[in-house]
Amino acid sequence: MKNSKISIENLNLFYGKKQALRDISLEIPEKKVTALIGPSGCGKSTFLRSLNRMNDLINGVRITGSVRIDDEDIYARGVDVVHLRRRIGMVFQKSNPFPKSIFENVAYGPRINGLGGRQEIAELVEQSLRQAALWDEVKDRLKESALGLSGGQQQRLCIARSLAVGPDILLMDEPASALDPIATAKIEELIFELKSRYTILIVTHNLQQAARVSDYTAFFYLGELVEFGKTRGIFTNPANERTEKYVTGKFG
Amino acid sequence: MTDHILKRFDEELDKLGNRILKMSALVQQQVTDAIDALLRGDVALAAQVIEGDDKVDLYDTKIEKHCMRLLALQAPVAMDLRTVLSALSVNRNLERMGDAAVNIAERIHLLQQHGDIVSRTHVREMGEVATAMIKDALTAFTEADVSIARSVVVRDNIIDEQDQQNFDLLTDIMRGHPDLVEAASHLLMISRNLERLADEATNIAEEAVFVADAKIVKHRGWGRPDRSEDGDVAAPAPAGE
Repeated sequence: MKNSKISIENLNLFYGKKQALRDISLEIPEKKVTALIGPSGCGKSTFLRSLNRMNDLINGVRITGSVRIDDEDIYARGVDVVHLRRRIGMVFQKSNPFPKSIFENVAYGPRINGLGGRQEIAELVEQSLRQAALWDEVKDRLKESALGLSGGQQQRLCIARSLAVGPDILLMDEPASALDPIATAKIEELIFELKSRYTILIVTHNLQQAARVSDYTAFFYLGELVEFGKTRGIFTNPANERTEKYVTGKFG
Repeated sequence: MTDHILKRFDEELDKLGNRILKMSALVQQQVTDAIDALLRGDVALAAQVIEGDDKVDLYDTKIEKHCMRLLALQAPVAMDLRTVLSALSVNRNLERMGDAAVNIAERIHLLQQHGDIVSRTHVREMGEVATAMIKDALTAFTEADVSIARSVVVRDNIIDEQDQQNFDLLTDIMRGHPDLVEAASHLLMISRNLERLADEATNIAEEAVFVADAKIVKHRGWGRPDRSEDGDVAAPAPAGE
Protein backbone atom coordinates (compact mmCIF):
# COMPACT_ATOMS: atom_id res chain seq x y z
CA MET A 1 0.00 0.00 0.00
CA LYS A 2 1.14 3.52 -0.80
CA ASN A 3 1.97 5.52 2.35
CA SER A 4 1.97 2.46 4.57
CA LYS A 5 3.43 3.13 8.03
CA ILE A 6 3.16 -0.35 9.50
CA SER A 7 3.36 -3.47 7.41
CA ILE A 8 2.18 -6.71 9.01
CA GLU A 9 2.77 -9.99 7.21
CA ASN A 10 1.48 -13.42 8.18
CA LEU A 11 1.40 -12.54 11.86
CA ASN A 12 0.52 -15.44 14.17
CA LEU A 13 0.47 -15.14 17.94
CA PHE A 14 0.14 -17.94 20.49
CA TYR A 15 -0.54 -17.75 24.22
CA GLY A 16 1.00 -21.11 25.04
CA LYS A 17 -0.96 -23.55 22.87
CA LYS A 18 -3.83 -21.20 22.24
CA GLN A 19 -3.58 -19.28 18.99
CA ALA A 20 -4.86 -15.72 19.41
CA LEU A 21 -3.93 -14.25 16.02
CA ARG A 22 -4.09 -16.17 12.76
CA ASP A 23 -2.07 -15.21 9.75
CA ILE A 24 -2.77 -11.49 9.85
CA SER A 25 -1.48 -9.46 6.92
CA LEU A 26 -2.28 -5.78 6.89
CA GLU A 27 -0.87 -2.42 5.83
CA ILE A 28 -1.60 0.44 8.24
CA PRO A 29 -1.68 3.77 6.39
CA GLU A 30 0.45 6.63 7.65
CA LYS A 31 -1.17 9.62 9.37
CA LYS A 32 -4.61 8.06 9.26
CA VAL A 33 -6.82 6.64 11.99
CA THR A 34 -7.36 2.91 11.79
CA ALA A 35 -10.05 1.40 14.01
CA LEU A 36 -9.86 -2.21 15.15
CA ILE A 37 -13.29 -3.69 15.80
CA GLY A 38 -14.65 -7.12 16.66
CA PRO A 39 -16.31 -9.01 19.49
CA SER A 40 -14.56 -9.58 22.83
CA GLY A 41 -11.76 -12.10 22.51
CA CYS A 42 -11.35 -11.63 18.74
CA GLY A 43 -7.71 -10.61 19.09
CA LYS A 44 -7.89 -6.88 18.39
CA SER A 45 -6.16 -5.79 21.63
CA THR A 46 -3.60 -8.58 21.26
CA PHE A 47 -2.95 -7.33 17.74
CA LEU A 48 -2.57 -3.75 18.99
CA ARG A 49 -0.10 -4.84 21.67
CA SER A 50 1.95 -6.78 19.13
CA LEU A 51 2.73 -3.49 17.37
CA ASN A 52 4.85 -2.16 20.25
CA ARG A 53 5.91 -5.57 21.58
CA MET A 54 3.87 -5.24 24.75
CA ASN A 55 3.07 -8.94 24.44
CA ASP A 56 6.76 -9.65 25.15
CA LEU A 57 5.90 -8.97 28.78
CA ILE A 58 3.51 -11.94 28.92
CA ASN A 59 4.91 -15.37 29.66
CA GLY A 60 4.45 -18.06 27.04
CA VAL A 61 3.75 -15.75 24.12
CA ARG A 62 5.12 -16.88 20.77
CA ILE A 63 4.97 -14.83 17.60
CA THR A 64 5.64 -15.70 13.98
CA GLY A 65 5.48 -13.51 10.90
CA SER A 66 6.67 -9.95 10.67
CA VAL A 67 5.73 -6.45 11.78
CA ARG A 68 7.63 -3.73 9.97
CA ILE A 69 7.46 -0.08 10.94
CA ASP A 70 8.95 2.24 8.33
CA ASP A 71 10.31 -0.93 6.76
CA GLU A 72 12.16 -1.98 9.90
CA ASP A 73 11.31 -5.37 11.43
CA ILE A 74 10.43 -4.66 15.06
CA TYR A 75 10.88 -8.32 16.04
CA ALA A 76 14.37 -8.54 14.53
CA ARG A 77 17.25 -9.37 16.85
CA GLY A 78 18.93 -6.37 18.35
CA VAL A 79 15.87 -4.12 18.25
CA ASP A 80 15.91 -1.75 21.23
CA VAL A 81 12.41 -2.24 22.68
CA VAL A 82 12.65 0.88 24.86
CA HIS A 83 13.51 2.96 21.81
CA LEU A 84 10.66 1.27 19.90
CA ARG A 85 8.11 2.12 22.58
CA ARG A 86 9.30 5.71 22.59
CA ARG A 87 8.27 5.88 18.95
CA ILE A 88 4.91 4.30 19.71
CA GLY A 89 2.75 5.99 22.33
CA MET A 90 0.05 3.98 24.03
CA VAL A 91 -3.15 5.02 25.77
CA PHE A 92 -5.24 2.57 27.75
CA GLN A 93 -8.90 2.19 28.68
CA LYS A 94 -8.28 3.36 32.22
CA SER A 95 -6.27 6.53 32.48
CA ASN A 96 -3.18 5.98 34.58
CA PRO A 97 -1.57 9.27 35.59
CA PHE A 98 1.37 9.12 37.97
CA PRO A 99 0.59 10.40 41.50
CA LYS A 100 2.54 13.54 40.69
CA SER A 101 1.78 17.03 39.49
CA ILE A 102 0.25 17.65 36.08
CA PHE A 103 3.56 19.14 34.93
CA GLU A 104 5.64 16.22 36.21
CA ASN A 105 3.39 13.67 34.51
CA VAL A 106 4.23 15.14 31.12
CA ALA A 107 7.84 16.08 31.92
CA TYR A 108 8.72 12.62 33.22
CA GLY A 109 9.20 10.92 29.83
CA PRO A 110 11.32 13.61 28.19
CA ARG A 111 13.38 13.97 31.36
CA ILE A 112 14.33 10.29 31.71
CA ASN A 113 14.99 10.18 27.99
CA GLY A 114 17.33 13.16 28.31
CA LEU A 115 15.33 15.20 25.82
CA GLY A 116 16.44 18.63 27.00
CA GLY A 117 17.20 21.06 29.80
CA ARG A 118 14.75 22.76 32.11
CA GLN A 119 13.59 25.32 29.57
CA GLU A 120 13.21 22.81 26.74
CA ILE A 121 11.27 20.42 28.98
CA ALA A 122 8.92 23.23 30.04
CA GLU A 123 8.31 24.07 26.37
CA LEU A 124 7.77 20.41 25.57
CA VAL A 125 5.21 20.10 28.39
CA GLU A 126 3.27 23.09 27.11
CA GLN A 127 3.41 21.89 23.52
CA SER A 128 2.24 18.39 24.49
CA LEU A 129 -0.59 19.70 26.65
CA ARG A 130 -1.67 22.01 23.82
CA GLN A 131 -1.62 19.13 21.33
CA ALA A 132 -3.72 17.09 23.75
CA ALA A 133 -6.22 19.98 23.96
CA LEU A 134 -5.68 20.26 27.71
CA TRP A 135 -3.43 23.33 28.08
CA ASP A 136 -6.19 25.90 28.51
CA GLU A 137 -7.81 23.83 31.24
CA VAL A 138 -4.65 23.20 33.30
CA LYS A 139 -2.16 26.01 32.55
CA ASP A 140 -2.90 27.73 35.86
CA ARG A 141 -2.55 24.63 38.01
CA LEU A 142 0.37 22.73 36.54
CA LYS A 143 1.77 22.08 39.99
CA GLU A 144 -1.42 20.49 41.27
CA SER A 145 -1.82 16.73 41.47
CA ALA A 146 -2.89 15.02 38.25
CA LEU A 147 -5.20 12.85 40.34
CA GLY A 148 -7.43 15.89 40.91
CA LEU A 149 -8.33 16.06 37.21
CA SER A 150 -11.60 14.63 35.85
CA GLY A 151 -11.55 11.25 34.08
CA GLY A 152 -11.61 12.86 30.64
CA GLN A 153 -8.84 15.31 31.58
CA GLN A 154 -6.74 12.47 33.00
CA GLN A 155 -7.11 10.59 29.73
CA ARG A 156 -6.01 13.65 27.74
CA LEU A 157 -3.11 14.07 30.18
CA CYS A 158 -2.05 10.50 29.39
CA ILE A 159 -2.22 11.35 25.69
CA ALA A 160 -0.08 14.46 26.35
CA ARG A 161 2.38 12.26 28.27
CA SER A 162 2.61 9.91 25.27
CA LEU A 163 3.15 12.80 22.87
CA ALA A 164 5.93 14.37 24.97
CA VAL A 165 8.50 11.73 24.02
CA GLY A 166 7.97 12.37 20.31
CA PRO A 167 6.27 9.26 18.97
CA ASP A 168 5.00 8.93 15.42
CA ILE A 169 2.45 6.22 16.18
CA LEU A 170 -0.30 6.25 18.82
CA LEU A 171 -2.01 3.07 19.96
CA MET A 172 -5.27 3.56 21.81
CA ASP A 173 -7.00 0.67 23.56
CA GLU A 174 -10.60 1.74 24.19
CA PRO A 175 -9.48 5.24 25.21
CA ALA A 176 -13.00 6.59 25.83
CA SER A 177 -14.93 3.59 27.09
CA ALA A 178 -14.89 4.82 30.69
CA LEU A 179 -15.80 8.42 29.85
CA ASP A 180 -19.07 10.33 29.66
CA PRO A 181 -20.35 11.52 26.23
CA ILE A 182 -18.82 15.03 26.47
CA ALA A 183 -15.40 13.74 27.54
CA THR A 184 -15.68 11.09 24.81
CA ALA A 185 -16.44 13.76 22.21
CA LYS A 186 -13.34 15.71 23.32
CA ILE A 187 -11.17 12.60 22.92
CA GLU A 188 -12.69 11.91 19.49
CA GLU A 189 -12.09 15.51 18.39
CA LEU A 190 -8.53 15.23 19.68
CA ILE A 191 -7.96 12.04 17.68
CA PHE A 192 -9.14 13.89 14.58
CA GLU A 193 -6.72 16.76 15.31
CA LEU A 194 -3.78 14.44 15.98
CA LYS A 195 -4.02 12.39 12.82
CA SER A 196 -2.35 15.08 10.74
CA ARG A 197 0.86 14.29 12.66
CA TYR A 198 0.50 10.75 13.93
CA THR A 199 -0.51 7.33 12.68
CA ILE A 200 -3.26 6.26 15.06
CA LEU A 201 -4.72 2.84 15.81
CA ILE A 202 -7.73 2.63 18.07
CA VAL A 203 -9.41 -0.43 19.54
CA THR A 204 -13.04 0.26 20.28
CA HIS A 205 -16.19 -1.66 21.10
CA ASN A 206 -18.24 1.37 20.18
CA LEU A 207 -18.99 0.91 16.49
CA GLN A 208 -20.36 4.41 16.11
CA GLN A 209 -17.10 5.73 17.53
CA ALA A 210 -15.15 3.69 14.99
CA ALA A 211 -17.40 5.09 12.27
CA ARG A 212 -16.95 8.66 13.51
CA VAL A 213 -13.21 8.82 14.13
CA SER A 214 -11.48 6.42 11.77
CA ASP A 215 -10.46 6.52 8.14
CA TYR A 216 -9.93 2.76 7.92
CA THR A 217 -11.48 -0.10 9.83
CA ALA A 218 -10.22 -3.62 10.43
CA PHE A 219 -12.75 -6.24 11.56
CA PHE A 220 -11.31 -9.12 13.59
CA TYR A 221 -13.14 -12.33 14.42
CA LEU A 222 -11.77 -15.40 16.21
CA GLY A 223 -8.20 -14.20 15.75
CA GLU A 224 -8.59 -13.61 12.02
CA LEU A 225 -8.69 -10.38 10.08
CA VAL A 226 -12.01 -10.72 8.27
CA GLU A 227 -12.08 -7.41 6.44
CA PHE A 228 -10.01 -4.27 6.19
CA GLY A 229 -11.07 -1.24 4.22
CA LYS A 230 -12.14 2.37 4.24
CA THR A 231 -14.47 3.02 7.16
CA ARG A 232 -17.14 4.54 4.93
CA GLY A 233 -17.23 1.28 2.94
CA ILE A 234 -17.27 -0.99 6.01
CA PHE A 235 -20.25 0.89 7.45
CA THR A 236 -22.25 1.35 4.25
CA ASN A 237 -21.48 -1.68 2.12
CA PRO A 238 -19.12 -4.20 3.73
CA ALA A 239 -17.70 -6.78 1.36
CA ASN A 240 -17.79 -9.69 3.79
CA GLU A 241 -21.02 -11.19 5.10
CA ARG A 242 -19.58 -11.63 8.62
CA THR A 243 -18.65 -7.94 8.72
CA GLU A 244 -22.18 -7.01 7.61
CA LYS A 245 -23.66 -9.16 10.35
CA TYR A 246 -21.35 -7.75 13.01
CA VAL A 247 -21.77 -4.06 12.19
CA THR A 248 -25.55 -4.41 11.87
CA GLY A 249 -25.76 -6.10 15.26
CA LYS A 250 -26.66 -9.63 14.19
CA PHE A 251 -23.93 -11.35 16.16
CA GLY A 252 -21.11 -10.55 18.52
CA MET B 1 -34.81 -9.39 8.41
CA THR B 2 -35.51 -11.17 11.64
CA ASP B 3 -32.09 -11.84 13.06
CA HIS B 4 -30.80 -8.76 14.84
CA ILE B 5 -29.75 -9.25 18.44
CA LEU B 6 -32.00 -6.29 19.24
CA LYS B 7 -35.45 -7.75 18.56
CA ARG B 8 -37.04 -4.33 18.82
CA PHE B 9 -34.95 -3.16 15.89
CA ASP B 10 -36.24 -6.12 13.84
CA GLU B 11 -39.79 -5.23 14.80
CA GLU B 12 -39.26 -1.60 13.81
CA LEU B 13 -37.81 -2.55 10.43
CA ASP B 14 -40.68 -5.01 9.81
CA LYS B 15 -43.18 -2.33 10.73
CA LEU B 16 -41.54 0.10 8.32
CA GLY B 17 -41.65 -2.52 5.53
CA ASN B 18 -45.34 -3.14 6.21
CA ARG B 19 -46.14 0.55 6.08
CA ILE B 20 -44.37 0.89 2.74
CA LEU B 21 -46.32 -2.13 1.41
CA LYS B 22 -49.64 -0.71 2.55
CA MET B 23 -48.88 2.71 1.11
CA SER B 24 -47.79 1.06 -2.16
CA ALA B 25 -51.09 -0.82 -2.42
CA LEU B 26 -53.03 2.36 -1.68
CA VAL B 27 -51.15 4.45 -4.25
CA GLN B 28 -51.46 1.73 -6.91
CA GLN B 29 -55.23 1.75 -6.32
CA GLN B 30 -55.33 5.56 -6.52
CA VAL B 31 -53.50 5.52 -9.85
CA THR B 32 -55.63 2.71 -11.31
CA ASP B 33 -58.83 4.47 -10.21
CA ALA B 34 -57.69 7.82 -11.62
CA ILE B 35 -56.95 6.25 -15.01
CA ASP B 36 -60.23 4.26 -14.99
CA ALA B 37 -62.17 7.39 -14.08
CA LEU B 38 -60.47 9.24 -16.94
CA LEU B 39 -61.20 6.57 -19.53
CA ARG B 40 -64.79 6.10 -18.39
CA GLY B 41 -65.46 9.75 -17.59
CA ASP B 42 -66.43 8.61 -14.10
CA VAL B 43 -66.63 11.77 -12.01
CA ALA B 44 -67.67 9.93 -8.83
CA LEU B 45 -64.63 7.69 -8.97
CA ALA B 46 -62.48 10.75 -9.62
CA ALA B 47 -63.90 12.37 -6.48
CA GLN B 48 -63.05 9.23 -4.54
CA VAL B 49 -59.43 9.50 -5.72
CA ILE B 50 -59.23 13.13 -4.63
CA GLU B 51 -60.60 12.23 -1.22
CA GLY B 52 -58.28 9.24 -0.91
CA ASP B 53 -55.18 11.43 -1.09
CA ASP B 54 -55.48 12.34 2.60
CA LYS B 55 -54.74 8.70 3.43
CA VAL B 56 -51.68 8.76 1.19
CA ASP B 57 -50.44 11.91 2.92
CA LEU B 58 -50.99 10.29 6.30
CA TYR B 59 -48.80 7.34 5.30
CA ASP B 60 -46.19 9.77 3.97
CA THR B 61 -45.96 11.53 7.33
CA LYS B 62 -45.97 8.29 9.34
CA ILE B 63 -43.23 6.71 7.25
CA GLU B 64 -41.07 9.83 7.36
CA LYS B 65 -41.36 9.99 11.15
CA HIS B 66 -40.69 6.26 11.40
CA CYS B 67 -37.48 6.58 9.36
CA MET B 68 -36.35 9.61 11.35
CA ARG B 69 -36.88 7.68 14.58
CA LEU B 70 -34.91 4.68 13.29
CA LEU B 71 -32.03 6.89 12.13
CA ALA B 72 -31.89 8.82 15.39
CA LEU B 73 -32.35 5.97 17.85
CA GLN B 74 -30.88 2.90 16.15
CA ALA B 75 -28.10 4.47 14.03
CA PRO B 76 -28.44 1.79 11.35
CA VAL B 77 -25.48 0.89 9.14
CA ALA B 78 -24.79 -1.15 6.00
CA MET B 79 -27.90 -2.99 4.68
CA ASP B 80 -30.06 -1.57 7.48
CA LEU B 81 -29.01 1.97 6.59
CA ARG B 82 -29.79 1.39 2.92
CA THR B 83 -33.18 -0.04 3.85
CA VAL B 84 -34.14 3.04 5.87
CA LEU B 85 -32.74 5.54 3.34
CA SER B 86 -34.51 3.82 0.46
CA ALA B 87 -37.78 3.68 2.43
CA LEU B 88 -37.55 7.46 2.84
CA SER B 89 -36.93 7.89 -0.86
CA VAL B 90 -39.67 5.48 -2.02
CA ASN B 91 -42.08 7.10 0.41
CA ARG B 92 -41.48 10.40 -1.36
CA ASN B 93 -41.95 8.79 -4.79
CA LEU B 94 -45.23 7.22 -3.69
CA GLU B 95 -46.51 10.48 -2.29
CA ARG B 96 -45.78 12.23 -5.59
CA MET B 97 -47.56 9.43 -7.46
CA GLY B 98 -50.57 10.05 -5.25
CA ASP B 99 -50.43 13.75 -6.18
CA ALA B 100 -50.23 12.88 -9.90
CA ALA B 101 -53.32 10.64 -9.55
CA VAL B 102 -55.18 13.53 -7.89
CA ASN B 103 -54.04 15.93 -10.59
CA ILE B 104 -55.50 13.59 -13.24
CA ALA B 105 -58.71 13.08 -11.23
CA GLU B 106 -59.27 16.82 -10.76
CA ARG B 107 -59.43 17.40 -14.52
CA ILE B 108 -61.94 14.65 -15.36
CA HIS B 109 -65.11 16.70 -14.83
CA LEU B 110 -63.65 19.40 -17.07
CA LEU B 111 -63.45 16.91 -19.93
CA GLN B 112 -67.01 15.63 -19.61
CA GLN B 113 -68.45 17.69 -22.45
CA HIS B 114 -65.65 16.55 -24.78
CA GLY B 115 -65.65 12.82 -23.99
CA ASP B 116 -64.39 11.67 -27.38
CA ILE B 117 -61.23 13.77 -27.19
CA VAL B 118 -59.77 11.37 -24.61
CA SER B 119 -60.05 8.41 -26.93
CA ARG B 120 -58.21 10.31 -29.69
CA THR B 121 -55.04 10.44 -27.56
CA HIS B 122 -52.61 7.79 -26.30
CA VAL B 123 -53.58 8.16 -22.64
CA ARG B 124 -55.09 4.64 -22.46
CA GLU B 125 -51.81 3.04 -23.64
CA MET B 126 -49.81 5.37 -21.39
CA GLY B 127 -51.98 4.37 -18.43
CA GLU B 128 -51.40 0.69 -19.16
CA VAL B 129 -47.62 1.10 -19.42
CA ALA B 130 -47.42 3.35 -16.33
CA THR B 131 -49.47 1.05 -14.07
CA ALA B 132 -47.43 -1.99 -15.17
CA MET B 133 -44.20 -0.06 -14.50
CA ILE B 134 -45.41 0.94 -11.02
CA LYS B 135 -46.39 -2.64 -10.16
CA ASP B 136 -43.03 -4.01 -11.35
CA ALA B 137 -41.02 -1.22 -9.69
CA LEU B 138 -42.61 -1.99 -6.33
CA THR B 139 -41.94 -5.71 -6.80
CA ALA B 140 -38.32 -4.92 -7.70
CA PHE B 141 -38.03 -2.77 -4.58
CA THR B 142 -39.61 -5.17 -2.09
CA GLU B 143 -37.68 -8.13 -3.50
CA ALA B 144 -34.46 -6.13 -4.17
CA ASP B 145 -34.52 -7.61 -7.68
CA VAL B 146 -32.17 -5.82 -10.08
CA SER B 147 -33.41 -7.57 -13.23
CA ILE B 148 -37.04 -6.51 -12.64
CA ALA B 149 -35.74 -3.01 -11.88
CA ARG B 150 -33.97 -2.97 -15.23
CA SER B 151 -37.17 -4.04 -17.03
CA VAL B 152 -38.91 -0.99 -15.51
CA VAL B 153 -36.21 1.49 -16.45
CA VAL B 154 -36.14 0.46 -20.14
CA ARG B 155 -39.88 1.16 -20.43
CA ASP B 156 -39.49 4.81 -19.45
CA ASN B 157 -38.65 5.70 -23.07
CA ILE B 158 -41.95 4.25 -24.29
CA ILE B 159 -43.89 6.62 -22.04
CA ASP B 160 -41.74 9.58 -23.04
CA GLU B 161 -42.49 8.87 -26.72
CA GLN B 162 -46.23 8.51 -26.05
CA ASP B 163 -46.20 11.79 -24.17
CA GLN B 164 -44.50 13.48 -27.10
CA GLN B 165 -47.05 11.94 -29.51
CA ASN B 166 -49.86 13.27 -27.32
CA PHE B 167 -48.28 16.71 -27.37
CA ASP B 168 -48.11 16.74 -31.18
CA LEU B 169 -51.65 15.41 -31.48
CA LEU B 170 -53.18 17.77 -28.94
CA THR B 171 -51.46 20.88 -30.31
CA ASP B 172 -52.81 19.91 -33.75
CA ILE B 173 -56.31 19.67 -32.25
CA MET B 174 -55.88 23.09 -30.63
CA ARG B 175 -54.84 24.63 -33.92
CA GLY B 176 -57.79 23.09 -35.80
CA HIS B 177 -60.46 23.45 -33.10
CA PRO B 178 -60.18 26.56 -30.95
CA ASP B 179 -63.24 25.40 -28.97
CA LEU B 180 -61.22 22.40 -27.75
CA VAL B 181 -58.22 24.38 -26.51
CA GLU B 182 -59.26 24.10 -22.87
CA ALA B 183 -59.98 20.37 -23.00
CA ALA B 184 -56.78 19.71 -24.95
CA SER B 185 -54.78 21.71 -22.38
CA HIS B 186 -56.14 19.52 -19.60
CA LEU B 187 -55.23 16.41 -21.58
CA LEU B 188 -51.72 17.76 -22.07
CA MET B 189 -51.43 18.03 -18.29
CA ILE B 190 -52.91 14.55 -17.83
CA SER B 191 -50.39 13.16 -20.30
CA ARG B 192 -47.60 14.92 -18.40
CA ASN B 193 -48.85 13.41 -15.14
CA LEU B 194 -48.86 9.91 -16.63
CA GLU B 195 -45.32 10.51 -17.78
CA ARG B 196 -44.47 11.66 -14.24
CA LEU B 197 -45.94 8.45 -12.81
CA ALA B 198 -43.57 6.47 -15.01
CA ASP B 199 -40.66 8.66 -13.84
CA GLU B 200 -41.50 7.93 -10.22
CA ALA B 201 -41.71 4.20 -11.02
CA THR B 202 -38.25 4.48 -12.59
CA ASN B 203 -36.95 6.19 -9.44
CA ILE B 204 -38.29 3.34 -7.31
CA ALA B 205 -36.66 0.80 -9.62
CA GLU B 206 -33.34 2.64 -9.23
CA GLU B 207 -33.84 2.52 -5.46
CA ALA B 208 -34.16 -1.27 -5.74
CA VAL B 209 -30.64 -1.33 -7.21
CA PHE B 210 -29.39 0.74 -4.24
CA VAL B 211 -30.90 -1.74 -1.78
CA ALA B 212 -29.57 -4.78 -3.64
CA ASP B 213 -26.09 -3.62 -4.66
CA ALA B 214 -25.43 -0.38 -2.73
CA LYS B 215 -25.00 1.37 -6.08
CA ILE B 216 -26.48 4.81 -6.64
CA VAL B 217 -27.53 4.60 -10.29
CA LYS B 218 -29.94 7.52 -10.58
CA HIS B 219 -29.03 10.33 -12.99
CA ARG B 220 -26.65 7.96 -14.74
CA GLY B 221 -28.89 6.36 -17.33
CA TRP B 222 -28.57 2.96 -15.70
CA GLY B 223 -30.45 0.15 -17.43
CA ARG B 224 -30.71 1.94 -20.76
CA PRO B 225 -29.51 -0.20 -23.66
CA ASP B 226 -26.73 2.25 -24.60
CA ARG B 227 -25.23 2.38 -21.09
CA SER B 228 -22.75 0.20 -19.23
CA GLU B 229 -23.60 -1.71 -16.05
CA ASP B 230 -22.89 1.35 -13.88
CA GLY B 231 -24.86 3.67 -16.12
CA ASP B 232 -21.90 5.25 -17.93
CA VAL B 233 -22.20 5.88 -21.64
CA ALA B 234 -20.85 2.75 -23.31
CA ALA B 235 -17.64 3.21 -25.27
CA PRO B 236 -18.30 3.33 -29.02
CA ALA B 237 -17.32 0.19 -30.90
CA PRO B 238 -13.92 0.47 -32.57
CA ALA B 239 -14.06 1.56 -36.20
CA GLY B 240 -14.46 -1.27 -38.69
CA GLU B 241 -16.47 -3.52 -36.38
